[in-house]
Amino acid sequence: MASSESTTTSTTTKVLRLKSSDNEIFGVEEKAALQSETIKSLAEDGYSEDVIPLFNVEKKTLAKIVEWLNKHASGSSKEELKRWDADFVDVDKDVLYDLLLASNYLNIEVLLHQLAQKVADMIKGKKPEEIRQLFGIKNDFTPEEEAEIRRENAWAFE
Amino acid sequence: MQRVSLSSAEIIAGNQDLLTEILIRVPAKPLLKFKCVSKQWLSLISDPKFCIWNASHQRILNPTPDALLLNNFYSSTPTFQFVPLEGDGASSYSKVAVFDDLNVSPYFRLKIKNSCNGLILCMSIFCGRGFDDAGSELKVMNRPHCESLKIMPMPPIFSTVNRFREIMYFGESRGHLHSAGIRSRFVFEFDVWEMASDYSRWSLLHHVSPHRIKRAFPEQKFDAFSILNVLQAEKEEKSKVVISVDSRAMSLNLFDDTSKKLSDLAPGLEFPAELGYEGHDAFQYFQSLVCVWG
Repeated sequence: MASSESTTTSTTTKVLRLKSSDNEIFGVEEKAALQSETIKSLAEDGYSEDVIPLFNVEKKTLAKIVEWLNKHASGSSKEELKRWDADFVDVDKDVLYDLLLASNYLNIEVLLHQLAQKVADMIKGKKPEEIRQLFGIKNDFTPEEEAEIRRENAWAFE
Repeated sequence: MQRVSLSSAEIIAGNQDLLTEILIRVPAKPLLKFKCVSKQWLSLISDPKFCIWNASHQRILNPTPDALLLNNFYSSTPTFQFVPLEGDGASSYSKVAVFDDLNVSPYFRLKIKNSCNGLILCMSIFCGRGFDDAGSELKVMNRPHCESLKIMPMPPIFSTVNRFREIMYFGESRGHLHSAGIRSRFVFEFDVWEMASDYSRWSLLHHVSPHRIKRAFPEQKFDAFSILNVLQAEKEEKSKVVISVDSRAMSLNLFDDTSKKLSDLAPGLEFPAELGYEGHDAFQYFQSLVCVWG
């Protein structure tokens, strides 16, 4: 998996066609697309001549992912990428969640870490009740259990 | 639209790997609050493996300490002032209340002797009638980044037949916390203890008797010694203690009592040479390709 198969011998740049769950097709240069471990293994499995179906990613999310893949294969300077990435993850939480799930499914580690950091920054100032609301989590503690945990960690709630 | 996004959020919350990726990036204080989000969050945040991950991640993200604890040794009750290193400078004097839980009698003074990966070794000294009553030491465990305190048991320094009186060493090696007790720095004999991973008890790892010392250092004369480091090895038979004796650093293999000279030591400038160096003067050094950028 980790070994990078060199394709530099081919003279023309190969374009992979990625298909979103809602049947939109995106053409992406192979070098950019292979930053995704999932696409890489699908391509190695022989999908590369045809379209590569990505069943778990909708077109609006895939469009953003393709944008990221292209930028990160463009040879931009480190400083520029840093600025660009900060803008890229500066989206509302629903888009952020979709991108996080897509980067996880597509196994793009660098992007996954950037997005996880963004979610972490977003939630760290929130109250437990807000966290439950943000993630649709049901409070499965009894009021006594919750009070006990709050008491044990009282200083953190100050 | 709202329903779709809610389900993305729920998928993330239900995916332990993704949740871990997010939460290792959250600092300790909010994580303590998040323990009451749900049972799943409580169990993840309380998992010791997660805590270690989180701590190392936070150290990379934010390698500077959050605050200094300033020990006022001369106050009549133990006080540590909290000096936040970030902030608007507006915070007024704040005393670290956690040490109040220790219930140290007003006749004792507390002093932080050493710290190691978030653990603090404190010493209490009896101040009522001078220092002739041997200063007893106690260990304090400070959960990483968190002010709530748990006291670890004392190393059994007074329970051995030899009445080891002083903790000479406190440090970590390969994830194990060690301490070593001596009778006096002029009696070459010591115990090495190891703390259980749940911080519940110390167990005796090695008793190094004068007899073993003689076997290890047949030609060594001993004025005074100190323990610089306890080094756990991958294989138990390679574990050793580094000691400073007679202006030399020596290693003592704890398994077969063989010794080896590691290097000569430059004499201390200000102190009598026989006092040499102590454990808190020694820091573990690791080779690394990582550069420190100025």
